[in-house]
Amino acid sequence: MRKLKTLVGREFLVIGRSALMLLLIVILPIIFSMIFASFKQVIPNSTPASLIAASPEVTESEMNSTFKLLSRFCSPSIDSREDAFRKLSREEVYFIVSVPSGVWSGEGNVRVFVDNSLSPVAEMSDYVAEILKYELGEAYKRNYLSFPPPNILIEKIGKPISPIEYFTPGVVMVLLAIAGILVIPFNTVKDRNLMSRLLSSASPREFIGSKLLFSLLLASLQIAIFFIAQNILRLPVMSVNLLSAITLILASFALTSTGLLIAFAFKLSNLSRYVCSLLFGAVATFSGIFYPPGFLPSYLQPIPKVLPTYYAMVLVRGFGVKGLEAGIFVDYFAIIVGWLVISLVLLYYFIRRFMDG
Amino acid sequence: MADAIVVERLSRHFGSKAALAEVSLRISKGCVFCIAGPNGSGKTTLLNIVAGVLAPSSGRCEVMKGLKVGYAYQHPKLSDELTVGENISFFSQLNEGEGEWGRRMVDAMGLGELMDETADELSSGTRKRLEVAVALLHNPDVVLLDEPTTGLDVESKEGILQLIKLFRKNGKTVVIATHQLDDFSGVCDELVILNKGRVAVEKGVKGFDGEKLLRVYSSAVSKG
Repeated sequence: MRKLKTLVGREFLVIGRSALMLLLIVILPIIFSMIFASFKQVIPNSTPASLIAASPEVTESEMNSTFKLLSRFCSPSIDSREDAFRKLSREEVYFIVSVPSGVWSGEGNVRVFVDNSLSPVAEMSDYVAEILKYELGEAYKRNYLSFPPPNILIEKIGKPISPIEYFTPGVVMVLLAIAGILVIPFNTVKDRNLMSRLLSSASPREFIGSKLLFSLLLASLQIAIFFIAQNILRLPVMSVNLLSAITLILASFALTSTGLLIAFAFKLSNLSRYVCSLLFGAVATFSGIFYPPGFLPSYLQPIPKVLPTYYAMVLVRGFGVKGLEAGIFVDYFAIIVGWLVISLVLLYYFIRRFMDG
Repeated sequence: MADAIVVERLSRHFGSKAALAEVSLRISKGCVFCIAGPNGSGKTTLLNIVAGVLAPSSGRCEVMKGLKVGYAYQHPKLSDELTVGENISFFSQLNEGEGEWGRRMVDAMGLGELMDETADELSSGTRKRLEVAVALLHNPDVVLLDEPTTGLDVESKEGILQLIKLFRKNGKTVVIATHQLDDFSGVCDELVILNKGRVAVEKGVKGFDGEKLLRVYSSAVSKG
């Protein structure tokens, strides 16, 4: 028993020396419990939505009244019809509420548009209608509304896809993140002892090139597997086309260069592995891989916007599932390429610094 | 004889600590040059800078143009997951090694029968021999050996000394960093003794026996 106590005591002593480890043990459960608890709500507060006028006759007062009503359970913005549908394609909003003229005097039907290919939202769209009905009913009961609430019609846009088809691109992204943020940097850390020989035989550019080529091969293998499954075996797993393949490869490069950048910034120490693991957790949780980031609480919603994988996920779904054109995603492409370029420049700098001892 | 390596007023700092301070020396082509000194005197730092692994803080270190450098590190830098054969093949391809020469080095280091052993599982002496072989695979003109005999048995040490003699015969320049000066008394042409990052002694020592070398060394280090 004494030996057991001594051995356990040593474990605590060792862990106590690593501030980051302690942080991970305490902070991570808090973050995850907050995220999962908030996601339990069907449509949490601050889910982004667009509010549009169904016709030019809709008055400003009708729009403002509906805006106030929507604000009770989501984060609406008043948009033009064109902007709203563009935002829906880009997953900037998760549903569009179309207000008919005379809605507050009992005329017309309120339409709620949702993207059928965004499975989790499409499945929950009935709840959106229910909540909207409930809020309108409450307004009627409290005499804010002089007429019975209007009908709420749900219109699902685009072809429906199965949850499997929805989640498969996310699985690919997780695999790319495992390779780029965990496997490749961890192997590089393991090569710490060997690094001076490698970097005296090959230039930093050749070294970086070899790592990116390796990640390209890993990404290509995964893309090829899903391509074969879908196009040859006819399994409805994931639609891979040229644009979605390019997006996945760019994301793979961005993840690999970021992982290596962290490894070299921390001089290939064990600390770099903890930081990479933390980044992997952030990427897996906040990139919209398993559920749309707009379902997160408002204070967590800015996090996906700083991750290139969030934009990559929207692009892959946009190209592979919705069949959209590249034109509406130019800025998303620019963000991923920008991230890649900046991380490569920093990686080059940190490798040079590592070489200089 | 023409110089293979020129070092002028070379300094290297790690933080506020000076590992090398204003070191100047010239190493002739075809010469076996020993850098001796106690632990922490700057021998490895000097070799690292000559090999281009480390940048100097100030001063100049130049290996004459066109000369290929091979560096056997004090602590073997090998791909531990790979076998001896895979390590040989990997580093040979990376440094554009020469097949026939590489095979000679593998044999000279007595690694021929260990090709399927994983580097991680080798004894420290065998790892050292593999390290030396890896450094020599591309038939370098300048060979840098950092403590090449440390941890080796008598037979392996003899193998290294034979190799150094072979290099000299082939006109290669050999630079050895060591604190076991007596191991190299039979092969050393010139000697520099570093102490606390500075050159304490620099002299031709060809023909000196082990005892005489040690006297020079002890005198230089005790003065420092």
